[in-house]
Amino acid sequence: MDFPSFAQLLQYIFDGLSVGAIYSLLALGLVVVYRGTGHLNFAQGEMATLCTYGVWELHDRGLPLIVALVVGAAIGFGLGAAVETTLIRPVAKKSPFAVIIVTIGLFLGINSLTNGVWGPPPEEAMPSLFPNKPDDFASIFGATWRYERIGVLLVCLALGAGLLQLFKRTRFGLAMRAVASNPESSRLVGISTSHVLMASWGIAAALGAISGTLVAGVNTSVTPGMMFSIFVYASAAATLGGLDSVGGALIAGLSIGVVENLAANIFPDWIGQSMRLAVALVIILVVLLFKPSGLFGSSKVERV
Amino acid sequence: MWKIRESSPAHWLLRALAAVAVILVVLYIPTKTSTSTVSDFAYAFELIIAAMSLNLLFGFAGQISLGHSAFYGVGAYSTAILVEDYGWAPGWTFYVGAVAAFAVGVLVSFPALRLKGVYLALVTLALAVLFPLLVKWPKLEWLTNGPKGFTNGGYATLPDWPFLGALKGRDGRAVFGYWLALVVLTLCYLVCRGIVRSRSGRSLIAVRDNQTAAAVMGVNVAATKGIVFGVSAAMCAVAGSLGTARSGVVVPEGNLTLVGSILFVIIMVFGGASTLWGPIVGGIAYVLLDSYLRDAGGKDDGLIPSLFGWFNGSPASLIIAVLLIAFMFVAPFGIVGLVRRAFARVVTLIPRPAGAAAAAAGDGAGGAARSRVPAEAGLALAAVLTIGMIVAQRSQDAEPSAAGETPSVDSSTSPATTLAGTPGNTGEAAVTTVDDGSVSTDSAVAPVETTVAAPVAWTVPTDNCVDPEAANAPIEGTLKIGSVMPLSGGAPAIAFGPVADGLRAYIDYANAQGLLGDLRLEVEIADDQYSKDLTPGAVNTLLDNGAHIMSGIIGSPNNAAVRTTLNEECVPQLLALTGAPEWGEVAEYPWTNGVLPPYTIETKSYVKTIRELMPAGATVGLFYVNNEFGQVYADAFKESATDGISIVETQTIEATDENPPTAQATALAAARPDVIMGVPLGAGCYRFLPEIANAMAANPGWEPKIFLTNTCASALILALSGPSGDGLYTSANLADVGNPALHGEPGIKEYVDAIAAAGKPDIIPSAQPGWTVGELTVAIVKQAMAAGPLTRASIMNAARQFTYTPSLARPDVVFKLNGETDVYLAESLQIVQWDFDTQTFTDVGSLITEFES
Repeated sequence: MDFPSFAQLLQYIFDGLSVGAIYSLLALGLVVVYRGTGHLNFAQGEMATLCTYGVWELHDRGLPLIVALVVGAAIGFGLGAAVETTLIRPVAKKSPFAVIIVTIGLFLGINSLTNGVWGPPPEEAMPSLFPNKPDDFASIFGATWRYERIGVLLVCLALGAGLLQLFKRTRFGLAMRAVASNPESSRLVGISTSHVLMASWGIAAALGAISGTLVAGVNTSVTPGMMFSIFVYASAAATLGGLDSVGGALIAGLSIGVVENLAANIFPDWIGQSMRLAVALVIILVVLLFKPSGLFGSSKVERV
Repeated sequence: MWKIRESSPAHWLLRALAAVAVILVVLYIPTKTSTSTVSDFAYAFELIIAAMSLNLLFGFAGQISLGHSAFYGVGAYSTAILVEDYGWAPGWTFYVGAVAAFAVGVLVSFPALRLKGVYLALVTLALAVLFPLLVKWPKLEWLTNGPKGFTNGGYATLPDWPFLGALKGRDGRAVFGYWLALVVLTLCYLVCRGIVRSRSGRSLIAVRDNQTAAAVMGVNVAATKGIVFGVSAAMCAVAGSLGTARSGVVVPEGNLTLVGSILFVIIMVFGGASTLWGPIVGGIAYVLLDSYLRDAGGKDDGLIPSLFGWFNGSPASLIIAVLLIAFMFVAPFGIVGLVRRAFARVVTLIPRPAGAAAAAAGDGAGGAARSRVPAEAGLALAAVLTIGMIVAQRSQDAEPSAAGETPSVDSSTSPATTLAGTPGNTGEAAVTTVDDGSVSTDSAVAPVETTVAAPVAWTVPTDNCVDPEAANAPIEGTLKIGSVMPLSGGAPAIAFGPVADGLRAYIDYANAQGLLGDLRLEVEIADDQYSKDLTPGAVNTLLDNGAHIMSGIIGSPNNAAVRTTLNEECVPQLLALTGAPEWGEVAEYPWTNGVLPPYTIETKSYVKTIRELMPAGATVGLFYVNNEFGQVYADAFKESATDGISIVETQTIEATDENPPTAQATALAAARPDVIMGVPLGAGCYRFLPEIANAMAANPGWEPKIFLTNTCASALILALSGPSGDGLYTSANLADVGNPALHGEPGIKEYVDAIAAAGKPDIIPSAQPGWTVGELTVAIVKQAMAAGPLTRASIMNAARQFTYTPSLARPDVVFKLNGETDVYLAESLQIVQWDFDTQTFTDVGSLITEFES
């Protein structure tokens, strides 16, 4: 094992932040749903893919990508809200396991649907929101960082900051926190629980549309399975950050990206690219074993 | 409303009726139904055991698990490793797998002590994803064989079981698999029942319903959870062992990944969680439904295709997903719950007053038919099994004996010398030498060229066939060709679906042109979703439907999973669509051959080209997909790269990871190799190239030559990588049919017209292998017919002494097989370079034929 030079180390960190930003983006969606409803949406990645296909179709019909993205995110919001009211809420009353099973069903169903409708490779590449020619990169101390990746990171940070403001500063955010901590009492003080639940899923799906479009831009195309491995990383990030912490998911996603990339490159024989994902999974296992509420999550006190 | 008292004579009558019904079904299946049904049930039993183990944990103990695929994998691998590497008999390995999985299960129960709901789902999800990664971990390769897995982990020969008699061939394997799985299933059922109905079962349910209350009541929560996790894991491992024993093939894919966990959840939900019979009902329902949907989805007419015309491939998984969600709404306790509800309208059971209430709590759904099966039922079931074996043996005896007799006529003693001798068939321009591709054709028929095959003594052995007479029986009227390809279930179906269309198109074409005279051809393509677990069932269905030969089965593990059976049955397994070098084992598997150039030859051709481009030697950065295909390919490349060609950096990507390999490209660039050898797959093909282009831009002066496996060499795919793929090297032995300039060429024209006439002009570049497999199959059959009566044996003999140039092949490419001396059909490759501007491939140098044997 040769210890990497400073430029190499910096390069690993940049590459790690680049992928970490994508994990964080999807993790934000998981956190929003968990905060609002206490559920983990196993279909978060697939819903993002479905919305991205929507964005792609709109763009294909002539809308500029950024407009298509805004419309796609709006459609995503509607989709998320509809899923919550029609599929999640009715079974949530029965048992929390039923919700897990329904989201697994959604995961399978959407995956099969996108394969069935858009399966064959598209005829042209998906454009990116950011410059992505081979020489569109910044050189920083001998390392390079692509503008597109910097752009994704900035969007991720901006969305995270926006969500934090939403939760902390707005009435809606207050209502969300209230519903998450005690739905019954919230209802008693006049908060529309159903709107809050709907909105949580809607926001998460809209975030999914944005993250999916960014991923597709980086990937140069939308493919049915593009969010699957990202979902696993994102759930690791959400777990590490504490499932209900926006800032936690953000920091955890970026850290996982950096740590796994450093690990893969510094220990190519023991970890290497093939065991990168294992690093994230071991993080899940260790965190849940020793600090289930994550680094920044609030630990729940349960009354018996 | 009919009220009966528990343990009253009426209740006993009810129970007896139910028992008789179960016994009849259990006996009926292996004796009276088709082999494919028997093998479907054997597979169902295996999945039922896994779902049952999940149900024990989830349904009764309330601990969710998405990690059961890992336990299943522990069993599957234990069996494969012990059988293939240590020569154990499969039966003993079940215990080892179970013990190993028990230990893993107990370990997993530690986090489960503190976690529940979503958090437990996350831990077990991590376990499911981690398992295949660990199996592929290079540090464990000595044990697990890496991504390649095992292909001989099952029963090489079936053991002699009393009552079942000597079992052989696919019938024998299916019947044996059925009884083996049923015996194990029965034991697992009794274990579950024992646990649930006992004091420990009541502890489980108490933990599920209220952990704190349970602890207060004196239940040792930690011990209860630990044991139930362990037992559940052990049981699931047994299912995995059964899976390995069934086909002998284990790769870290399919049911060993999260896919398997989800499958077990589906089965449990379909049948009914928290009910003892739920997984049994659910497993059978799932396998029958899935098999029906895959079957229906592959056909052109019928309800499913007419409803799902807009859908690429079969909608099987979509329908199952919709059902899964629907069940949570209308039948949270699954089919068993529904049946119970229906029963409750007719019959009410009045429980015995004392002690019954607590025990009955085990059944979540409640309702009337909450029958507590008495302990005698276990004995009764054992008796049933015995009777079943006797009956099965009778039905075996009724069939013609497999052993002994040597066939009187060995049709293959006069091998074909030429094909060209049948006059009257138009278009058979008897071209004996193949020159520059200006093929002589003056008719509309595709050029069927033949060179003279030398008379060779190789003939396929039929003495050990299950039914030697059938192998030598003349085939008249219609020849049924079977094939198994992924037609649904995601990326492989998208990639390979057009191959199925190409094969069908050629068979239609051959029939329309009357290429085989009076002999009609029928082709049936079954769907295995690229999962080797489904291939044996698919092949059994095809054989039940009367297929005479198999041709063009896609995938290495898939072909491996049916190779033993087809060789025992003496059914030609022609033109396996895989490039792994193991498809040339004539001595072990005389009835099997492959059609793709083996990777060893592809990589040698690249190394030769690299040497020509850089005579002073070159450094290579190797990038490959971390699965069976990538590993076999990379091994072949490493073996070929000698004398001045050195691999300086190796990077991999997971097959399920569809994101661009940025970090890998960075690492490759850091080593600054002269050559990049890329072995990605599917979407990875076009994601890899822009990353290399980016890395080149970031590293001025580094301009490697890029070589890409010909699996990626499709204009459709490469176009998506934009200008970054321009100038890359790959190889081909078939013509670049994506190039419209060639569409007027004889041979290619017929192909393009046929595909366009089928309404699928966009698959012209991707249907080519299917068309070629069809053409080669027809040519083999034609040669067999010319040599004498058409039999399965004569087809195999023709296939092994075969020289032919397919109409879509490049000029000068000759496909040759010759007994044991030339075991690979395609060994000539043309190196080509991709030209992004014209979207075509241009030849580099001349055809490489030096690796022909």
